[in-house]
Amino acid sequence: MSLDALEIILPGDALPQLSPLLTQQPDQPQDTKPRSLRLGPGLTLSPSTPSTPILPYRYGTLNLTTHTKRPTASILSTPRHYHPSPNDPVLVTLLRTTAEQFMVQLTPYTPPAIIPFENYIINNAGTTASARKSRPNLPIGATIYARVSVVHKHLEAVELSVPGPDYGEVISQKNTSSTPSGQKTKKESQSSSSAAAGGTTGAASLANRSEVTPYILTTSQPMTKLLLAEDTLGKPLLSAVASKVPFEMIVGKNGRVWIDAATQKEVVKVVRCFKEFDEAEAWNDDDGGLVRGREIVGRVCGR
Amino acid sequence: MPTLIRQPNSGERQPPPLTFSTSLFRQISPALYLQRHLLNNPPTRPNGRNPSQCRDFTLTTNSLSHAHGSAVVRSGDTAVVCGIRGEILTIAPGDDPSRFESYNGSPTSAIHACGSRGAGGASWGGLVVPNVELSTGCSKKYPLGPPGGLAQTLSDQLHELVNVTKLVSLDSLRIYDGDNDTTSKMKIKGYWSLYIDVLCISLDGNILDAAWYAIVAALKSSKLPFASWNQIEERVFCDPSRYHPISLRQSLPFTTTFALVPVPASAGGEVGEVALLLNDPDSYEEDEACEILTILSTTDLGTAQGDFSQLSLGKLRTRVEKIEKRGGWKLGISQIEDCTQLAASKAARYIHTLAKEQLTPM
Amino acid sequence: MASSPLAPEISLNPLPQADGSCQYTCPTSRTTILTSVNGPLEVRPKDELPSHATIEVIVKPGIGVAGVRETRLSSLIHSTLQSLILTNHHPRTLIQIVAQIVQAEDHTSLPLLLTPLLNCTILSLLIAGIPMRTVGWSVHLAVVQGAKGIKGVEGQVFKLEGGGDDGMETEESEEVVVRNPNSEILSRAKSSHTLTFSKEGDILLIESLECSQGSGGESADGQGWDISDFLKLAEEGKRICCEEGVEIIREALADRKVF
Repeated sequence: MSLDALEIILPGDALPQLSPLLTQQPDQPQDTKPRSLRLGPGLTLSPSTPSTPILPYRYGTLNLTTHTKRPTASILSTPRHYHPSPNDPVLVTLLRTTAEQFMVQLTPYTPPAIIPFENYIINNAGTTASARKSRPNLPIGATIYARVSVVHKHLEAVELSVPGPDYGEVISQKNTSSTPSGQKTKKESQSSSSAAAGGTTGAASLANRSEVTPYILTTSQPMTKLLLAEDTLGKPLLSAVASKVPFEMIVGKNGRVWIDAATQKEVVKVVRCFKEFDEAEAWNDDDGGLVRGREIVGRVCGR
Repeated sequence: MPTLIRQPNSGERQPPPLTFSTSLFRQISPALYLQRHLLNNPPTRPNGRNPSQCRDFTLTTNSLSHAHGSAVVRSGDTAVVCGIRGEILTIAPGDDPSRFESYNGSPTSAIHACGSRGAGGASWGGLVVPNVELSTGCSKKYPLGPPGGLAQTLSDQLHELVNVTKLVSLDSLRIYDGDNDTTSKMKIKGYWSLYIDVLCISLDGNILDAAWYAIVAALKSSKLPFASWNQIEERVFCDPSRYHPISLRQSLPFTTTFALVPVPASAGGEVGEVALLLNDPDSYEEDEACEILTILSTTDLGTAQGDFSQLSLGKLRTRVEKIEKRGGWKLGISQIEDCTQLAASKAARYIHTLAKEQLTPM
Repeated sequence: MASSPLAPEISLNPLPQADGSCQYTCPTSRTTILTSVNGPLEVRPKDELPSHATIEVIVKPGIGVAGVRETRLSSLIHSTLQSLILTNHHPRTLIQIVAQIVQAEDHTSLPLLLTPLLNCTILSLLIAGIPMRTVGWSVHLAVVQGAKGIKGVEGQVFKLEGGGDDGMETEESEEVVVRNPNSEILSRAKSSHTLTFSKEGDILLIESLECSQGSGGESADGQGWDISDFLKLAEEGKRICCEEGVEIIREALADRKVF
């Protein structure tokens, strides 16, 4: 992520790099269709300002993909506040259950999002939660791993869905005898220690772990992206923490991270490492947070 | 219902004739209603004025019997009452009176003069204290309750105007020990402190101009009783048989407010919007405006007497003392110069009306 | 990082819990402002706008409780931000901006506070990623008569070109323009001008006032400035905001990684 090559674009900057894509190329006679440019996040059409027909509205760097069939331009930037977009996997908390949907909290201080019962799929057969018998009895405050389905600025609430048994209520089922090298659960992997839909299977294994409560940490968007990109951006921090404390986490794109470990102390240590890294914005360092991450982990986890 | 919308000149944009009444149009889409009026040739405003025309105003002074000075200004449907009350401020023996006599003083003295900030709303002290109140029935937007954002902003703006213009001669508000003949040797025992209360009875836009004009007129018409320190009683006594006016500036500054409304540019195939200047906006225009410009200026009319409307104002020197522009981004720098010319002509009318009220300049 | 002695000290995102925050210190007057921006948030039903976001600005003073002066400052900042933020992107939400005056030489002086407040708020909005139409920058200029004894940092004091028709100007009578004056210079100034321009050169805010000292009355006759002098000053202010101001913003943001 070197910034020397890429220039910072401020809101309102004219984008001369985009104009050749908008006009038809004279030296390509076979390209009779006018090329269309898809605008991603950060750019909007602004016909009222003739100098900037395509207007960037956030600061960041220009991200242009021209090799695909439909060239896409967007502004790469990560505001700390989460803006829901379709197909994001998110971790939400149940606020209340109404007659037709679950009302859940996506981010604090924003209107609640909804999971309509017909979007909540319980098992592989496709049974939805609409029928009273198949509806999971979720307590208030339960954590649900869901996916964003519909977002529009004029709609009253963001709609989420639970597309299958891999999603749904998150219950800790961690096997306490884990290998010391650390196990990290990613959102894509289907391992059995990840979220289980419904609430029945977890009860037995919860009994021997009743003293450990998993923690749900709130992170900023840049930190969330870092945790999701564990092989690239997140590697300095995650490998440093995992080498000291084995843990398990589920990352929701809305800035919620569910963390579980063998003992309560270890849960707290992991949470503290993440929190300090986030507050210090250590990814801005030249080494991507390697040195600072190690220093934080050493201080928090001891040894 | 007669329709005020005429076909605009440019051939491409020909809005279809209305099938409903114009008052309904104004309620549904106030911004478009105003734009259509302004796109006419010549541009007219819904209230019938042209963009550079301000409202006629009337002034009545000394209508409040218990105030030392008062003025009522009516400008269209905006009506403002201003009352001036003088209170006596005695100086304790150890105090230094010089901090009262300076506008825009140095920070340390200003903080001393302020006392504790925030006490009672107005967060400053000094000898001239304006306060604005928007009375209950003045407008639908301002219901009963503590002063809202607009009243507070206006109070602060008027306080700033008093400080910027330095209208009142602060050293003339002194109260001396004994008789007034040899003032140079006398000790200052107190000051007249002027409380200026502005009450807005009816609000139809542009309250700042009306309020400031009311303040200037009220100050001009005020008469304070002669006050002096009585050594026997150790108090300040007033002589009800002797009154004197408040000493003010010779050249009076006045504010002129403009609203800028965005209209689609129709000239030369230009895309986008330009801002049209509207002099003396009413509340409907203020709501639709994206930016407001206020200019405080003085025109040296000097010894010119007689009919001010015949005066060619281009030759007279206009000095600007404050410019405030807020909101929007469409004002061009060159438009400010036109505004100054309009401000000068409005100032001439203000002075003319003041003179007609038979107030002799100090 | 300061490339010149005139550049303000900017610390981005000092408040980790806010969506965007900034601490700004003016290099000459040491006025320090801390702003935080949160949004888009849930809005109270009475403040809800059907197709726009509501912008709320709160200014907290350094000393005492908020009074009329702070209400006026909030309303000036609000009208400037209304023309910068694209409010139709997040209808029926609230964008909340809180500005705290941490340190000021003179807490009662509006001109000294307005420029740092505006600049700090604009930077916080950029960090928070609130959709904006363009960026703006504000500069505070003071016209002082008599250049004697003004110790300024390099580049701070300058003269306007083609100033007037004076034949001979001695050092005592020449008018100089001081950029970012502190309260001591401001107390000697004839007039104070706070100008905010957008990156494209549009005027966003003008707060110019005559601020000479005196006891008023007849001694104040003859004060004020000619409109043509003001227009020259505005051109210079525009150049400072559009070139140097935007440069300061770019430099401040360059340290932050984007991914």
